Amino acid sequence: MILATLAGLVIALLRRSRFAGLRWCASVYIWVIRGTPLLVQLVLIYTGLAAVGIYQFHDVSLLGLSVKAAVQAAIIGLMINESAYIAEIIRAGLDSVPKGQFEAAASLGMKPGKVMRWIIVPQSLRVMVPPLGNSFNGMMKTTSVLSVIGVSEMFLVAQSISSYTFHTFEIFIVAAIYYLALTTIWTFIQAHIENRLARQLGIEQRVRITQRLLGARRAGAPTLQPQG
Amino acid sequence: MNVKDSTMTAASTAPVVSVQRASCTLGGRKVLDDVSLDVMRGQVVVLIGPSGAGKTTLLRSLNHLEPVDSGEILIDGVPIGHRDATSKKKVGTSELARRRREIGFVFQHFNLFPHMTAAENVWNGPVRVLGTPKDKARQDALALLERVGLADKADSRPSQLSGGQQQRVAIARALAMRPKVMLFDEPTSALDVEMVGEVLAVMRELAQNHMTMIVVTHEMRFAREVADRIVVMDAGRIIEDAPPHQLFGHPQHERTKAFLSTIA
Repeated sequence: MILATLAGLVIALLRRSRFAGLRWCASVYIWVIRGTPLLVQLVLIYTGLAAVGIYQFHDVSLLGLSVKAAVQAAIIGLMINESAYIAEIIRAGLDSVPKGQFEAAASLGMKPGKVMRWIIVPQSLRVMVPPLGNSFNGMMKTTSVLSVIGVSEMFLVAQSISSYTFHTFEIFIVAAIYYLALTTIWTFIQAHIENRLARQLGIEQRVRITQRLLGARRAGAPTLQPQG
Repeated sequence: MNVKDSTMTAASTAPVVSVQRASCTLGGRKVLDDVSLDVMRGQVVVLIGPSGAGKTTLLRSLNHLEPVDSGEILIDGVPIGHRDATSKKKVGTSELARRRREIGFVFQHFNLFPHMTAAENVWNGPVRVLGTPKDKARQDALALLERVGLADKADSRPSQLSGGQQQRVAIARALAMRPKVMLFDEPTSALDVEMVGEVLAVMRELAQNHMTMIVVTHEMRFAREVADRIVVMDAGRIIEDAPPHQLFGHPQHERTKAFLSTIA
């Protein structure tokens, strides 16, 4: 997810590049990746590349841990897939910052990189976190697709247990609870991040976890643009 | 205050801002049509004219927020958008950023950074752009906020300030960069009537301390009392340029008379 966010950031910035060629590359990347299923991408990366002899993943050991070939392919595949969506989220976030903010920063003599770092990104984060959270949440569940290339993730494990115990219902209920537990933990983290960002903007907003999970109403959603 | 020293010690007679035959077309309309204008150090120039006359475009072109199509804009002898006076090569983004430091810009809608406090808004520029140590920049920022009468609001967010207070913070933010010239784009147009005075008072104080200023405004009393020169624009051209008493007393151009009668 972190890799995907970084890659997504790079692609989103490419799309804003001064050079038409870079913008074009980024757009095509997003178009192709979002237009094809993750399942197909994974099989292409893991099996397809090896079949045509471009690249074959091998097990490697990293910091004393052995990383299986399929796991490497899974990480790369998920990163590529997710980065295209994240690039779009970041683009929307950056677009949400009013033009006057760019102009004010530029008129102080800030270079484009600093304008992004100190003025634009801090303001767009707040807009980006909820959809990024969605993405992350979705990705945790998408890991079930990885069973296709033989990564022993939860779904594959559950399937193999059920195939010799025949307790299909019980085992997949347990799997579902595990998935729910993982995404719930993320929900907590996301609420924490959102509250922090709101505090940075001087907005009194406390989303309680219970509100978050049980969908309680939030009165008077705060807006980002105080100036008229 | 240091801002005042830097403008007073320089005794050069060359113009701080020199616009030479600038033209600019936006959306198929010629918004600047062969405009030339020199502003000397310490001068206060007020731009007036009907809406759509090109006042804001002219002001924005001075720090390259709106690049001109032809002509040249020199800030203290250096062209804002080109590498040097002779070449037509466009300047790079970092060099443009460096040249923009010299020019303070105050926007109609303030454009304060909402994620920063008033003080942060002011010291952000010196720290990130000039590399001023934070402690020093923070002290300067507090002094500037005091100068605009907002010492007690240093830790407030823009969203907690009134329009007039926000605009005064915006002026302090621009001053923190020690600019050679301050540009004001209708600084009081977005304000409620009762807050116009406090912003004009700050601008008056700057003028008294010999800051070079170019102001687009509809505040005629301010223009009459503070300006050294009033420049009237109409349809992308400068049609009249005179000291206030002359311009308000004996306007030469028919359009100037017509414009003055609409606002009187």
